[in-house]
Amino acid sequence: MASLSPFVKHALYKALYYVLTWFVAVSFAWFIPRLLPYNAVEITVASMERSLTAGGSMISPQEYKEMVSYLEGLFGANEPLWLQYVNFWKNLFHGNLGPSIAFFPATVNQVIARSLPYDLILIIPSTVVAWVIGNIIGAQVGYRKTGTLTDRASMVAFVALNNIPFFVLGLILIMVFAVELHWVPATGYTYSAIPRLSWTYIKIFLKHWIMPFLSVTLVSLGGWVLGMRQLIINEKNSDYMNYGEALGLRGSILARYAMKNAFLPQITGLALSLSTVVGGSYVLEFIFGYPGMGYIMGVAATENDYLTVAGVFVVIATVVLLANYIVDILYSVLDPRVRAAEVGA
Amino acid sequence: MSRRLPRPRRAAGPRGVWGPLLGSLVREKFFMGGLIIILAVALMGLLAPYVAPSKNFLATVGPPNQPPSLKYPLGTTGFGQDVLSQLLFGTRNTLFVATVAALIASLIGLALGIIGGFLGGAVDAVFNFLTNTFLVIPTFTMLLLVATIVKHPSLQLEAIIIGAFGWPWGARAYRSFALSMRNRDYVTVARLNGMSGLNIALTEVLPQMLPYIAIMLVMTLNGSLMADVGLDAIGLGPGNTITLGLMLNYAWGWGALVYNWWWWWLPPVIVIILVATSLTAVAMGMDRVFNPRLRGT
Repeated sequence: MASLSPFVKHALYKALYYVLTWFVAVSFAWFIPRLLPYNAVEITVASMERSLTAGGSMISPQEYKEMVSYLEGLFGANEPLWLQYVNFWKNLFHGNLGPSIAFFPATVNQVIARSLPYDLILIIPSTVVAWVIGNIIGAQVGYRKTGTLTDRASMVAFVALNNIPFFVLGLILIMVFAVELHWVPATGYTYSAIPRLSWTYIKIFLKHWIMPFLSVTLVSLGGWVLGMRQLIINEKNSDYMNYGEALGLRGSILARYAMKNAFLPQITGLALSLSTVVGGSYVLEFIFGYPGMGYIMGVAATENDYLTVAGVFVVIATVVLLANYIVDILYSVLDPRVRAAEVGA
Repeated sequence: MSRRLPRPRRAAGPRGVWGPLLGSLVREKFFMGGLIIILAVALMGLLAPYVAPSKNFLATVGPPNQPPSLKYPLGTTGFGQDVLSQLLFGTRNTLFVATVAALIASLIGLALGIIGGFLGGAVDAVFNFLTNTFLVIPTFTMLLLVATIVKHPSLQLEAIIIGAFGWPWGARAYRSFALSMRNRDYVTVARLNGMSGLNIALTEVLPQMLPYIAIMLVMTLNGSLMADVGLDAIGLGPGNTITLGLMLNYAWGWGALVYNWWWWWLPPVIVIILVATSLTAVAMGMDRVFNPRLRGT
């Protein structure tokens, strides 16, 4: 390994670590439904029966038996557990997440492929916008004199904002902007509009997108402001800042030094926040009827469709771990101390 | 060589430390303000069976969708149920689930963090890997997966499920604390003095840890509350009872938002925001008192 640079070594080690984490996480998603005393086929049959009888059609015992054996074959429920596990991984590497119960006959792949773009277009912009604005406000608040009345009042406001679940703020926003002011529609999506690249569609989409976007952005903003404020305060009290001040450095230069150092933990925070943002937006999407994975999860969960839920879990875990890995590597590029530690190790 | 060092004298007895600490806590506005609000809400929940206008909170007591009036202080739901009664019992049930879940999560986190941090080696490596795995995988997604299969759990079961996934942040904090404690001089001195590991843990380390445990407990409580409200709001909560999240689920599901029956969903929203904000304020207040470095900032 002597030929490899410390950076490559570090990147490889981290990659191995994340692959192992991914393996354990995905295995959990497979094991948990099977550890619990519930039968996939029974659940599916019951749920299909419900929707069939609700539709007015009767089902004969013969058809029922056929359906059960068909589903057993589909889920591979007759095979020994270890073989099911091996098959699961085989399928996963072929990019196949299996059948969906709630959206039958659509596969989990198709369901996710339809909803994932809506998530990306909601979560990435809102997270990035909240992160950038939050850090700017936090740095400003932290660098000013703290303990003043405005500082305290803004603290309370940001603490409150940061602790509202996304969907609760969403409810309040719906009341104000949709029900009272009629500026935007009350639900996140209209199924009458066919997705295509036209101005009318984009306009309809944006109208439905803006409220979920605002909910996620505003709530996330509070956390970044509070975090950055504390980090800047810590930097302000450190030796190098006092030294710089004693040397008579200009305030703007000092602020830049403080900002650079305080910035680093916020980068790690960005990656870690992804998993909470994704999880937190489920209920929001469900309430707004926004057709992302959260909405899918809500429907699937109420229909006992754990295959879809597990499939979505695998996709989200993969995306979040990948993002964490990228940020980890980015971090070691940005922080000379981490680089130094790698050379030492 | 056979001379033993004198037993270390404690600089200050328990009272000498805890007294001023408590005094600082009481003077901390964030802490006291949050605590008072939480206690008030908790009292509201505790007294629900005695003060609620309608003891059977799921029963129809009047016409549907009535705005607040003298007869129905917070109006009625779309099913003619009394909103105030649902709010009181819902607060009671939600706080119950959140508290039990937070206790379970804290115990798991404490056990994994302390054992790993103090033992080190392979045990620590395994525990730490598990903690980091649960830290980065989307916990709420995992929670949904379990709740999907365990349809409409009882309040107790829901608390256990939430608690089983809420421990990684605590485990990480406790572990790093245990790691830093392990090599402190006073722990080494105690060990050289022949104190047993358990004795050191209980008399030297635990008192140092209590503040951290308190802060983590409050933050875990907040996390459990969010998880509980989220699960119930999406419709995966317990059946046949009421929680704050279930109130939102019903209100939203039966069009309270669109028809602007605000009295159905706004009260639970206010309680949720109040409790969550107060919990964070309490944690921040404790942090300022227990971490002197933060004071004066």
